[in-house]
Amino acid sequence: MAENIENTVTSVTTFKIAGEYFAFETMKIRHILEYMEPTSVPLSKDYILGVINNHGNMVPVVNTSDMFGIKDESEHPEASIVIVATDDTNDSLLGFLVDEVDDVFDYTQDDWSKDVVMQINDTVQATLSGTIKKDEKFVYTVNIAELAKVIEN
Amino acid sequence: MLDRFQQKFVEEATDNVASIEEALFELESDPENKEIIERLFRSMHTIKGGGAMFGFNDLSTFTHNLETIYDHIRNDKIKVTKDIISLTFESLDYIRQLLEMGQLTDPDDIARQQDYIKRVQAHFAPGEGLYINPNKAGQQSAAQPAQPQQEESGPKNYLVNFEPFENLLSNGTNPLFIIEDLMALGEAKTVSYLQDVHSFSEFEPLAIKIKWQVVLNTDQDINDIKDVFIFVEDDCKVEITELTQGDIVNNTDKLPDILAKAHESGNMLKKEDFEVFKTEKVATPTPSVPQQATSTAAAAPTKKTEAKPQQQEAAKIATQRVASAKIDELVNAVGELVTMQAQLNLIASKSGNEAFASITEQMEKITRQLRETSFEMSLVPLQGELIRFQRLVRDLSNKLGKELEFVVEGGDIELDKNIIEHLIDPLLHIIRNSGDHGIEMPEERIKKGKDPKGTILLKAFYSGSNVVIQIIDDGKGMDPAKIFAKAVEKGIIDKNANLTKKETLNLIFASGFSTAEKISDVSGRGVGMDVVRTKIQEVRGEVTVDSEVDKGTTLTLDIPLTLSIIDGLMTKINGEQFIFPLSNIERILNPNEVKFNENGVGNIFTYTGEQILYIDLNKLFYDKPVENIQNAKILLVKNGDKKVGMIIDQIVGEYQIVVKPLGRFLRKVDMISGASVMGDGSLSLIIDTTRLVNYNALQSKKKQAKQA
Repeated sequence: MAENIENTVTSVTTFKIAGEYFAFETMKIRHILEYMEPTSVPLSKDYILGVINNHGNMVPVVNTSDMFGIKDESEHPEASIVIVATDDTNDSLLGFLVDEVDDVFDYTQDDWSKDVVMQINDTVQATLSGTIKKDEKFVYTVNIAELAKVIEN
Repeated sequence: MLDRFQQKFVEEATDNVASIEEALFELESDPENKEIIERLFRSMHTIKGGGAMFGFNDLSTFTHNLETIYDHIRNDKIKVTKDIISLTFESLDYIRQLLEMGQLTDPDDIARQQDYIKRVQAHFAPGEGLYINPNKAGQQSAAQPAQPQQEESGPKNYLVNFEPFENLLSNGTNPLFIIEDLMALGEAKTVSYLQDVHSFSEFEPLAIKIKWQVVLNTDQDINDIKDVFIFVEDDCKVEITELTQGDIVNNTDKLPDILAKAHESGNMLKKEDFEVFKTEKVATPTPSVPQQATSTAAAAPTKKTEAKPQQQEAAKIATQRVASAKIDELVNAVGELVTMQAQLNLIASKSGNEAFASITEQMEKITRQLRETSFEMSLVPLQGELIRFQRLVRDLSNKLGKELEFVVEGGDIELDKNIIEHLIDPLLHIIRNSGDHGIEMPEERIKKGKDPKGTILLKAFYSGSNVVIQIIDDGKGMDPAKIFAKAVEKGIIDKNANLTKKETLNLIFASGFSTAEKISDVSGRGVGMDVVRTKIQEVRGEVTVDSEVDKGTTLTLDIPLTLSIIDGLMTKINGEQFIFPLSNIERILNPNEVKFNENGVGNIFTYTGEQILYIDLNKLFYDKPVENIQNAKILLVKNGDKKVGMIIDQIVGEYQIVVKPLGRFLRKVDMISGASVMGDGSLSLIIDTTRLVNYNALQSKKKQAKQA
């Protein structure tokens, strides 16, 4: 996890939700797909949009802005689904709907701080592991394994 | 590292060990059965021979000693005892270890091997009291006429017919070695015959056209002669006939003549041809007894060896060993094919090209056939795994000093291999619990007026598209009050909770629950029934418990047959596609065929006089009741021994579908058992009707609780 790494370089992929920047570790990302409508699954959690077929595997897609509890009303023509492997098991793939995929860059421990000013949904707050200051933006790093736990339980 | 051949040997030896184990259980209940002993001996012999050939010399040495016990048994020198059976069981475990370790190098291991061998040898070394006292044996079997052992002193004469089948050479066997082996048993003379020799133009160098007869004088018994043929018994016909006593082989007077005549005429020698020796040189005192012995002792084995080759010839290619990974690959590929076929069907029906449509239809038939066959291939019978359970119960019974019997009903049911793999550990755990905690000590059972011997019954049967496996013991049962108290103590439930007996009993599946009052060596190490439940749920199964104090406990596992391909009925609910497994649907009804309850209370309709509960799926899934019930359709679904109506909007059609699991993030939505990719690339969700009914019941209960 990002917080265990000292002065090593970690690559992250950043994305935008409701005007805010978040980052997943690049190594965990398997695919980035143009938005397609998932098949909805009744009786599932509200923030689960449904499932999509990714090379014959059923991958659940999370409406990230719903889950995080931050929303803006504007259109998102660049909306994408980021598919991540939350661990090494077979059925660990999860898709996240984001407004826009922004950037891929490396950061070191010096650019990173444990503090998070961003306030989001209570259940998800703890999965934000820290903040990277990049140019003039704040990017919040997301602990994918922790996030997956919230979704699974 | 093991080379390819060694690996093959280990694989086959492991199979042999398993069949020995199976035979041992049979022997335990039928210790006099010669056929079982013969089978045991043969399997051991194969392990021994193969071991020596592939460099498992320690294995071979050990097995040789073990085999000796059974050699003595089949020659009536020792009797089968409980001790011997137990030792053999233990030895099998040791053989399995040896198969894993290969040659022993560690001095500790070698010392252990020596100890083991000594223990085995103790069972046939003289002076150990295991030999049958000859007088006693005589008394026991006095009913049988002619006691072969008693006059079997001194060498005897045998006529051995050895007729190789044509393919003997292609298997790499040299028949001359076999004859040499025979000759090594004693003194022998041979005669050879040619049979069906082709003209030179049709000469086949690998086809054997010779048969032999060996006149053998030996003090070994008939089984030792048979053993010479143990590796070639499928490739030749062997007949062994016992001849009159006397020194036939060294008779220079008549024997060479007889042999030469036979060789020239091509008429094989028969027992009668040797009668001349009998009248001439009757060296033994009682002439009438050997004759009797000849007919009884020799006739039976001859018949047996004769019948065997044909039988085995037919059964030889009935089964074939295939790596399970290859079957998985096949099933996967067929799964993809089924999906593609659906796409093709769609394109063909749209194209309006009749020839194309007709070929597609033909292809669909083949695809279906392929699907069914590959599906059947991926199923394996539960039987193969049962031996482990039997073994566990036997070991438990010894360890705990309890009398346990393991009974199986319905071991022939077949299940998906992956599912069976998932079931082994939970079942072992359940059976261990039954033996350890369930069944009482014999004294206690007698006090309760029960049979001192406790029974653990494994019962398996099909139920719709599921398999039900039950483990039923007649032990002390579980006390709901105790379980309740324990659950409160562990903080699993509130002490004011109002639970039915069934709900209380099923608390044992809650995590952190273990009823064992003291931790024993056998079970109760803290991993409890919650692990069992998790494992069963991984294959979409269900486990429940029922129990009566002092009567016993029943654990019921409800498992789907397969996880991969099903026939489904596609429907639409609120514009979305849903598939119901066709096997669960009893009937499709129009709303006008049923009579809804006037006030709509209780969601019940009447159909052919029967009151049937129904579920409005629009309401359950999307919280808005079906718009016009008269335009809807009703699926009459089987649910255990009851029926449930499911109201849906529209029926689309019948499809063959490949089930893809939704994965662990949607595990809680268990009324959807998976999704399937349709021909047009869209996804349909597959409904698990049993779980849907359960979910619905739970929801209504919650609602009632809220209103109350």
